Amino acid sequence: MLRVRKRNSLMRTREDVVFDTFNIMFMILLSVIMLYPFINQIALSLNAATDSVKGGIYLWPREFTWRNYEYVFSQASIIQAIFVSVARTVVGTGVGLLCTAMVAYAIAQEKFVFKKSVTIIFIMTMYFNGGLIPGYLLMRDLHLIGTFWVYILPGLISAFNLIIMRSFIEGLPKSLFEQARIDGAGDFRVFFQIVLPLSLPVLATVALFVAVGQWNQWFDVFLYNSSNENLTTLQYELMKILQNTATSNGDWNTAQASGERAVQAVTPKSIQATMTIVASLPIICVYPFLQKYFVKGMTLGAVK
Amino acid sequence: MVKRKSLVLFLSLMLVLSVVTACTNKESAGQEEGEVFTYKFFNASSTGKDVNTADTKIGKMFEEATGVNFDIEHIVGDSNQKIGTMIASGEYPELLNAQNATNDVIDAGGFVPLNDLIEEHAPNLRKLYDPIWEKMKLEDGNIYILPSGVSNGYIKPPNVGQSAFWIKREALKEQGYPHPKTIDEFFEIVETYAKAHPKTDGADTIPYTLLQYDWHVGQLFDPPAFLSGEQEGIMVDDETLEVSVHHNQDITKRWLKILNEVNAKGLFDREAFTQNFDEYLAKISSGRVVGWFGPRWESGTALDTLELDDDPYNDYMGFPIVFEEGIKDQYLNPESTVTSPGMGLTSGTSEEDQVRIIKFLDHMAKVDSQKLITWGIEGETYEVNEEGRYYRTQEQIDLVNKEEFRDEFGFKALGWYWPIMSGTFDDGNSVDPAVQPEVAQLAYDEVDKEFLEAYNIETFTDLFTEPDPAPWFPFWDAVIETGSEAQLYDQQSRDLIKRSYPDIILADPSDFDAEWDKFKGEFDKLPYEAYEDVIEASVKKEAELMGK
Amino acid sequence: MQAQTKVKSHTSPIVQLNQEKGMKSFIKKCRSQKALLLMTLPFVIWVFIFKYFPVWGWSMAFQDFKPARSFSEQEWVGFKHFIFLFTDDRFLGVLRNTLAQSIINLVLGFVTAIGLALLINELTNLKFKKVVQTISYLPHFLSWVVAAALVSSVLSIDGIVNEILMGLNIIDKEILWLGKGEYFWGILGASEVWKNVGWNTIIYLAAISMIDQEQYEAAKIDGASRLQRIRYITLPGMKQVIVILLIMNIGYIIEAGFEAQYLLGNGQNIEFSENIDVFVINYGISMFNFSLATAAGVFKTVISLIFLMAANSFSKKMGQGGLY
Repeated sequence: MLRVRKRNSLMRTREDVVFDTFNIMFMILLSVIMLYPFINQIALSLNAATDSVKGGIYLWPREFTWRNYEYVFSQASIIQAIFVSVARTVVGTGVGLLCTAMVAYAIAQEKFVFKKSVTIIFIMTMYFNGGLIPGYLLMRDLHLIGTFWVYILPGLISAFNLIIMRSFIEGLPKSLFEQARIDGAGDFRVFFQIVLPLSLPVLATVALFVAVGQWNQWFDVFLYNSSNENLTTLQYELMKILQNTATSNGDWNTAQASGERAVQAVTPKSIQATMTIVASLPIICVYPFLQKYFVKGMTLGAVK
Repeated sequence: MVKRKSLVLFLSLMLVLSVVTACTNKESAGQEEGEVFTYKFFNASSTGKDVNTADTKIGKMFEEATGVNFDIEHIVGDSNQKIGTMIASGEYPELLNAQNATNDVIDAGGFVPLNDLIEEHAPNLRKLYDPIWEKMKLEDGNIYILPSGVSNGYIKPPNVGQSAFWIKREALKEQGYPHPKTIDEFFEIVETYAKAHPKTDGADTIPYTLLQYDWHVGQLFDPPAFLSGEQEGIMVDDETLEVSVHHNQDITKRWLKILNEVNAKGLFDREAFTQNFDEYLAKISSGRVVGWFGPRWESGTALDTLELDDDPYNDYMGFPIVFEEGIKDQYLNPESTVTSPGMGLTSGTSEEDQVRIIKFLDHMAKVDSQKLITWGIEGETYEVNEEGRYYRTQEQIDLVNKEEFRDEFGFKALGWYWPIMSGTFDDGNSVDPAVQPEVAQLAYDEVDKEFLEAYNIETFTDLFTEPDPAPWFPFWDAVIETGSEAQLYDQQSRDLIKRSYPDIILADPSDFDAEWDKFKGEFDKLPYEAYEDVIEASVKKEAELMGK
Repeated sequence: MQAQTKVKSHTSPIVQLNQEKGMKSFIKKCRSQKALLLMTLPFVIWVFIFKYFPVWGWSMAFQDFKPARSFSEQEWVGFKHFIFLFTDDRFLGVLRNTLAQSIINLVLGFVTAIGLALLINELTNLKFKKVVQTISYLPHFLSWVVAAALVSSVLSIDGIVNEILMGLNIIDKEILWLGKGEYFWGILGASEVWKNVGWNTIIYLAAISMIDQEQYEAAKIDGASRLQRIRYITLPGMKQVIVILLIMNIGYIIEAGFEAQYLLGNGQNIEFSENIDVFVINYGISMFNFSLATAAGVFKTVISLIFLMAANSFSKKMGQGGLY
């Protein structure tokens, strides 16, 4: 018996080694391709703007300078904007996650009377849109314009995330639920004490999706809160700075008429690179943070 | 797990509370602080830093004189969408520049008529707009918009700011400072230099390139018109004022044939039609391009970079090229005023506020204020000599070109987009300091002077013929109705040209005629006559108003 | 359990009795599921307010909408905008581009994301695995403006792709990739994969992590090879997620995105790059023509729902369960 097993391990090992080697080489190549653009953006953001115009910056800056970052951070509204961005990300994610999970749980229950209808009601929302103007008028009538909640309420539950969560919950072993019900637990208890703890991987996933969505949003700021300095987000402020440095504003009429010859110390390309780094760095760091929730496999024993 | 979750929830609640309380403290618009009134100005025509005018030196001076200041907000993103929401909700900031949506705001009743307000409360404003007062009136006799740049006397700019055919200075120097007048001469110079220098700084030399990306279509569309002596990208008969588009005419065929031949010789940039704006700028600023056509402001970023570097010979010099000798070049812009877009006073503003705002604008319209926002403060940003001519010392030039200074002083916040003159002041000084000969002369360096001497000129525009007056200039100032055939033509012709010209230019010379005929056939199907009619009506009307 | 009642006008007494019982048991069920109702009702209300109510805006598609006028003053034009869309010479081409781009992106997207997830999962060194995962989704955070500029420069005449091909003597003259329409779909597909594959693996990795470890142990003991383990344990464990995502994305087939196509498109490849959204941008918003944009949106929704329902039914017939 032992000898057979040993031979098996030997055979597996050789195949494994080949597989693993190729895998690792592939991953390294992949990492290079994925990482390069970012390194390039970092290099551009640290390079003197007037020099970057000439092109040819690849992995490191040719004329090192902090000027681009100085420029971006000297805009007074940036600090407040970061604050707001963090707030909406945290609140939006927390609240949205909870609400989505609740509905997902409910529609995952076979016995639920309205299971099918609620599911369909939500799924349909993925594929239609009332339009910009009706949306704006609705926010106005609900007095959400100029408030913080216009960032949270309209996007509370995404049908896509809802379905993902439902699938995971449906995949949980039914025996657990039966056990709990027999013990007399109601739906709320089952939800909070059994389903949530077991769904950490999907909760982490959806949390990531929602968080990234919240963090990157600028269009709603543009529509609803552009005049309110205290409620603009980082992305919006960065957008502003970027457009501010563009010498012509997409309307050659005005450019021609005003004939402005601003002497630029920063250019759109450099600001864009700086923007990319400032805007993405924080959110990129969220995933590694969440990775611990993607624990490989759950043993039933822990739950019992 | 649950504990951590509640901690997170608690923290976020705190965050939310602090944010919410912070934002309820600040209210906007029309608020009083003692005797100072703050209003809002939304500018959809320009991006820029959002400031309050009183935070600038000039703005503070205006506030002290009028008791009014403005929160300026610039557009971020698509202006049509943003203005669309304003119109739909009926809520506007007090002052608004609505860019392309100006007519829609007027239709919606978003702007109030200004005639009476100005006549009663703003004599200086009335005087400033006197040259174009009738032109500003719409069909219903009302004036809603105050445009910027009201021309008061023509002044010839010393340097080329608009369109020209540009050649690398080194090429000119090498060939003994030739003076090209025709398009053939232009390409000869380019070809000679390109053959002698197949590489520049290690990379391929690009004899001729053009930009055509996104809305940057001028370099592709306009040359035939300019080469024929037109003042802009459309044909206007001097006598009859008849207007016609040039894209389907022989002059365009001639221009494309020239480019086709240039391409056949291998002198045309293969990437011209696939490059984006940044790539184009990189090419220009690398010094690899020998010749190109376009307005200076479009490639400004790249050209400024070239001026700042160590090599003075990789800059470009502009020439007013025409098809053949005898055609009068008209590259320089004539005296003109663009009437739209501009700023307007919006409905919903109370009458007292309207009066206060008009008085502020009136104060700005005074000649002294105009000098403040263009030249600045005497002794600080400019000097006056015994003859009353304004000039700037080198230090002042350097100071004024710094972006931080422009922001602080208020040049940026209170310049273009407000009621402002253009051309000359009554005392003969130029409104725009950059165009004042005394200031421009100082900016010429050794190499500039070398070229000026070689061509026997005092300023670079001496090579260009003075423009004939054209009261309707620019043609694109005409109002084109949304959804009309003319507007459709605008978009469709753009699509068709962008699609077809590459095929024509890059084709084998033997296929040229076939490709051109194909394009012309399709172009003729477009509603270009409707477009011509609209422009012609506008041109004739302007001419009439200005008493030509 | 009672079957759902169907209301009929003429029923026999026995059926009527069953109906009453049906109604009663329905109410009884509702009462017993109070918690579930509480969990969903507020949000159904939310969805009606925020998602369904604004659909009144679809009326814009049938008007010559001018924001200036109030609703009652709008000019009704029936199907004018739809006709404009459908009869434009280019519409068929635009539609073809949209569908082709979507299908290519869909297939590529799925295959690469699943494949990469499997490979990442097989990495043994945990630290290396974490690092690779994080790096792989970095491009997702680049805006398309930056990404398109990168793609454009990589494909330019002196860009890396041409350099390598020339260096390996595969071609003798540089290829102007973005100048040939036929290459556009491939370029778009490759760019989309590069940008999103890492991000798309996240959900698959989450699914994989829910698979019971014991299964792997058992399989190893039985002598299953690496590939066999992937085939018989990992993939089936992901099956449900794959099916769900596939159905939802098929519903999105008409939504090929527009930024990449707009930024990488130019006069020479426009016959292959212009899709519905780019077309609408050119003729819609920039001309302040909300009506046209809305009409296109309505059209897209109809197509989406058709595809969604077809995919869902198909999936159920194949025994893989459906979305609903």
